[in-house]
Amino acid sequence: MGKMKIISCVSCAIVVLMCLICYSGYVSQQYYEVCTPYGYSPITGYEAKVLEEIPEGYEYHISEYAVMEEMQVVEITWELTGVVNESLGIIGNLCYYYGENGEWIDILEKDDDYWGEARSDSYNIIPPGESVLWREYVLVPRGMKTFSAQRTMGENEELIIEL
Amino acid sequence: MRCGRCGKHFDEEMYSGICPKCGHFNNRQAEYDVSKYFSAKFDDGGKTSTGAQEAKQHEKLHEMYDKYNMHRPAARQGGTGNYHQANRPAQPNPYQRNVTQTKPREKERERNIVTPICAILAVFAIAVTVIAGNLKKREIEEIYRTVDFDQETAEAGQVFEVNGRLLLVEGAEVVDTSMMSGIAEAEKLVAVTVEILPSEEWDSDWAYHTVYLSDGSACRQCLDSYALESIVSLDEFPASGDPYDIMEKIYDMRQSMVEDILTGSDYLNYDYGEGKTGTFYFLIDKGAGNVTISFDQEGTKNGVSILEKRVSVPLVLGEVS
Repeated sequence: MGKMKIISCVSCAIVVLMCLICYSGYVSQQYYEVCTPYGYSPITGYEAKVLEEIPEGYEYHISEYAVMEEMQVVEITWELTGVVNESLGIIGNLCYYYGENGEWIDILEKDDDYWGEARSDSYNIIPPGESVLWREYVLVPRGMKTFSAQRTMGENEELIIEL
Repeated sequence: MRCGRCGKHFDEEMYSGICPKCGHFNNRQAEYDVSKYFSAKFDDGGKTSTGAQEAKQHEKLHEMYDKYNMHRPAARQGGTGNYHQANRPAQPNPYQRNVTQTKPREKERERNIVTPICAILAVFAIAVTVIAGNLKKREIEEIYRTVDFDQETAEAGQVFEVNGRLLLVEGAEVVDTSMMSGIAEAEKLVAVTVEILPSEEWDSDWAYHTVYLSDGSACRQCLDSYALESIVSLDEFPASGDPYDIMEKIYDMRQSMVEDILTGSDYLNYDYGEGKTGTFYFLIDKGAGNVTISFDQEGTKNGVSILEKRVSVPLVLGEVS
């Protein structure tokens, strides 16, 4: 019986010690996982409109004829707000876009020759409490009325864009 | 005579009535038929001895009325009339057996309280750890997502305090980038001149402090020296003018701009303890009008970095310099 008591006490002490260690490690990990601005969506609104022509300084990977006859350029203006206590930087595209059947939708990218190496895109931020506008251009088939968007970083919730 | 136990015939006078086979003392004078005292009759296998019959009857009574059979199988072949004395060494007293049997039970009744208590403590510790971890995670997330800071506004030329230092924004102007090839036509370079007043104490921590310029639709971080050098470059000589003069101007411009540049990571460091006047550079859209420069002051709450204060200075863009 004496052995049983000793084993019980030692096991209990080990369990309590492991709980303390696990708690400390878990909390430390949470500071990294929770305190990241990319984990929280800054999107508070959007506006989409069809453009008559391709905006200047943007690249597209299909023929101009196809662009003008079969596709249409849609300008999406995102309203972004800093919702956390840390500035969020936007690098590259804000979202990926998909058609009604899940097909990939081309995003017009800025031409480096036109905009230069140190263009302002590299320095766009969303400070806490500030609201900014972010524009992206996509090529969609003519007649398409809705398509979806998913953020490139952070939570990939699906947003439906209606034209 | 014939032995009353085993039935062997022997000489009574020679053996003095003691059977040489089984050792039974045969007393001719003490043989009585006691079967009348017992209701049960047993077949002793042909033996008509009173003693054998008595032994069987005795054993049967024990089986009928006692829980414990005190007699061994060997005793059934016959034996003395005192069965209890003969069998006591071989079979323990049932009362004694009960006593010995109750001792382990009494010991078992001494419950081990320590083990269940330790088990309960362990389960309790695990539950508390899980709950405390989830609560701490929620607390961290709530602090991080709660944007609550002091918003201050200062005018150009007005001294204000941020991050423990006194600053003064002198003004903003658009930089002439007509000769530079590292900037797009749709953008313009804005220079904001800031005077950092002397201070006896300064922040020796090399943390980055956010400084940005907003034009109403976008917020832009200040440029670092590397980006500025790439902007202030010349890929093609203009059609008019002396190319060497132009190159010299570009070189001098770059040198002066890099020397005076201020960035978010160094404008509060100890090098400026004696005060310094420098310039923050920003790239903004060409169509942007009035702008506002903002300085953020961060703090810590329960280990989470939060925004404590923001000082914003509205500026009117001057002519191209």
